[in-house]
Amino acid sequence: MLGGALLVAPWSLSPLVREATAQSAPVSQERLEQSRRAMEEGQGLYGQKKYAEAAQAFQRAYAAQPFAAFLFNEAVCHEKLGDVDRAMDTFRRYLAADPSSPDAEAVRGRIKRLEAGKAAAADAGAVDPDGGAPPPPPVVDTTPEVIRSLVLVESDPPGAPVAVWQRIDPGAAAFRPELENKGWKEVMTGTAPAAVTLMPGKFHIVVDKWRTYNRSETNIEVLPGHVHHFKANLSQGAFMAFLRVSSNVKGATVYLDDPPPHENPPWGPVPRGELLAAGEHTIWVESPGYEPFTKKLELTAGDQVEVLAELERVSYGYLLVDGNAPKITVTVDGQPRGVFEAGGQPLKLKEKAGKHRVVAEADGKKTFDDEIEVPLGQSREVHVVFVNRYGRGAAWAAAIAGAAFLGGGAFLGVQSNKAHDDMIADRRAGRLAPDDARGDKGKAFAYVADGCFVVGGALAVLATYEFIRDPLPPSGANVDDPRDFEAPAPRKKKASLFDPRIRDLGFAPSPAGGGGFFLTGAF
Amino acid sequence: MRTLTLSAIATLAGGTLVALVPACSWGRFDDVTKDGPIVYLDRPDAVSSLFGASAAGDGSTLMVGGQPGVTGAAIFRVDEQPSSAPLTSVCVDQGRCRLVAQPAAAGDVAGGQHCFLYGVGLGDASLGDAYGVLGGCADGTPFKLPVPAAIASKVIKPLFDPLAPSGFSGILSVTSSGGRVVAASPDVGLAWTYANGMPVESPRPAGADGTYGMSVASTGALVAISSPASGKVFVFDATDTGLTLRGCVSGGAPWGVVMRATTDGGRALLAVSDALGTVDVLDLAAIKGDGSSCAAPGAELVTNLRCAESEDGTGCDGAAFGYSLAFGDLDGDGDAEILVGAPGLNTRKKPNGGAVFVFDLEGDPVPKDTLFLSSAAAEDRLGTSVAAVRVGARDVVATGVPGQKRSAALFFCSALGGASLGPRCQ
Repeated sequence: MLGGALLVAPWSLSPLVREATAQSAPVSQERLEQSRRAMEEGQGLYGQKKYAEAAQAFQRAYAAQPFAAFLFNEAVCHEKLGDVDRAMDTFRRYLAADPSSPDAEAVRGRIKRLEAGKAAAADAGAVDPDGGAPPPPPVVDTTPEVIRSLVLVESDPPGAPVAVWQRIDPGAAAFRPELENKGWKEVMTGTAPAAVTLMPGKFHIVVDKWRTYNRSETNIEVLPGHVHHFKANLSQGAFMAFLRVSSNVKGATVYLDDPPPHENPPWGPVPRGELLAAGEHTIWVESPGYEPFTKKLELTAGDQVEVLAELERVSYGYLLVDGNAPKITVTVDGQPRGVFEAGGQPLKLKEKAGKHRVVAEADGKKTFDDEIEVPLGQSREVHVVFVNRYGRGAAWAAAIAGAAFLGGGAFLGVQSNKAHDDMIADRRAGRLAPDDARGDKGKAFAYVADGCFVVGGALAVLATYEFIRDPLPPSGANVDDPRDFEAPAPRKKKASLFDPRIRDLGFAPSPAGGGGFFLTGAF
Repeated sequence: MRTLTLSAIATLAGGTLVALVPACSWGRFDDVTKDGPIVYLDRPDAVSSLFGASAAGDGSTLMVGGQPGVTGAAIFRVDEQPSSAPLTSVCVDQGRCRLVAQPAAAGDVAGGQHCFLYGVGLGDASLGDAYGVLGGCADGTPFKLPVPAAIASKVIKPLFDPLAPSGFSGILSVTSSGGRVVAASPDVGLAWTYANGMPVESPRPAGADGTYGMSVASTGALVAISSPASGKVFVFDATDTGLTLRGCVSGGAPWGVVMRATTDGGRALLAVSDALGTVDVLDLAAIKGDGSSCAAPGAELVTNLRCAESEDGTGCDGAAFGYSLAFGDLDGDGDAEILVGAPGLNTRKKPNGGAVFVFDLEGDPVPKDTLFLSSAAAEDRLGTSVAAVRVGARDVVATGVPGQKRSAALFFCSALGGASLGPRCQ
């Protein structure tokens, strides 16, 4: 168990050993961020062999925050460019800025080699009248061409003793402060805040017991060309554990020891890490569109617990329906679900994820009827684009005219039949005369009726065609891609001790009041 | 909505198609009128005045004449497929023939077949230059019977003399039964029969008025002569020596305007009409008395017929029910039915379309049938004349339609039923 909680981040230190760094003044977060970005830019350019641009980036990093590591990297770039004078000058500035640097001797030797090389080159260019021996070969810098990284170590309160150990034997056992620790080499000692220039590698940082504070320590791995920022949150005598919660869902909200319905502000968005008092804790990780994740934890002092909350989408989704009609009646799977009115919010329908038959109707418009996939745990906007119904005036006119003709034909047919029936009856009664006017009238009725049938039939066919014909396209919809649920409405804020947006970089006192080493970093 | 509309259209179209099928067959109207039960008889060109105003039947032969007192008649042959064209036209020379008021079948008077007595005058030139009663047969053979001198000079001659004094109608009635012809003229109040081809005058009986002889009817040896102005009918026994009065009945003026007689089941029947709605059928043989005091029919009355209105026939008050009479066996049962013309009846709402009522003398005196034209038109006046013509085993009705159609119609079917309605009614 450590004498205090230790926050560990996957960052590294260089193998160079130094005493307390020269840059012990408080670090400006803003300027530190500027130098960090410039450092990363320079590291990228250096990897692309753009040494001139890399040298300028390191210069900007130094201008933002005058850490010696930036000078060293700039000098390397000049050396790569063959600018020996400028390389030597920058190395000398590096030594001046950090004379106790662990690699100070190596840098001095490097300067001598550069000077020798320069002299040899000058001799090779001069005439030797005696024909003496040829000039010596130029000095070759055997130092690995790895640029330095910067590691910042802070403590709260400041002033705690800091030691950085490098693992020089890959097979060495884990670092134990009370042991001999073979395979480990102390590369820096000093007082927090401290900045140390390190080469990539595995290191162990120890913030030793100081005043009434417990000791904290951590293993780190330094990557090339990065700025690592570590902050030790020390407590007075309390033993803490560090809990870090991450999730597969970006921005998921973490609630700590606050069961639903949550009465307190959230612990923070993921990823969220903080020193907590040892003991039992429960976390809830929530995000709109996902099933809540909950887990009960038993934290032991000094533990570093990483929790990955794998959130799963809820089994339903939302359809947000609107359209280009004043009033839209929406039916889903045959069930009326609501009405959208222009000017209002889209009709929000909660549906089981999967395909659903959506029907939207509006006066004077063609009905929209299509199958729409409701996304799992997401919303999908459906903007119905209605098309006016095709006018049926001609069809109705033809139908009415056809019906009139058919009706007239039927009437005349009936009259014709009646005349015939009457004549048959008269014939059977023996009174049918050959000049019976009903014969001519019945025939005339038959003629006209048949004409009416022909015209009426043609009109009926025309009407049917006109009823079926529709040159206008059907109503459609613009269906947006699924998107996550909107964030829940903001809760009424209770007393909050911190702003979640700056917690990652700020000091976050544990609700339990324990002490520990809170390390955050970015690169 | 669209489905509903289409369904409605389909239903409407389907429904109308049902009606379409028969309506398409306009030719069926020709079929139904072809060989219809009624056959119109063509009016000869020579007959221009009210053809159909008079008619008489003799077996299967029919004579149809025009208005009495003028010219024109035709004889037709009647069978199941009758020809509308006449066999012959008679009395076409208005300078030598005028139609009588009441033509009659002549029987074997002239020694031929299907002969009729239809006019008066000089007749065919081959018949001489004496006035007489004119007749003709279906084969076109004319004949003439002599008339008493008074008839020739006072009745017939004036018909052909434009300067003749007025007051004489010039019309006489004839009847024939069993080869015995009886004629009468109301103008002179004289009736006569024939003996050995010569007229035998019979004086007007006491009690007869100036209209004596308006109508004559005979069956067997019984002869009835009406005097309608006094509503009397005198009944005689006809012998070779003349007419012997045997009785008289009175029905009130103008009873007796029209009369017809027949023998039915051995009973002599006399139908008497006033042409105003009353038709009485009397037992002719039962009428007795001295003629000086005519009584209303009592036991002699067989039945009294009245006009009956129906859906197709209305207006009996002005129907002239009884304007014409005839006996016939329409149902072929051997019993006579009486045909009563009512030319003023409104037929199917056509004023004066006319009809012929058929009564069965047995049973209730209600019409068994009402014959009229399906093509009835106003002023057709069907029933102005009526006759029964033998076709097969039954009689068919021939009736004049002198009004708008100026023709005669043969009714081939009878609603009385019977064994022989004929193929035209099937």
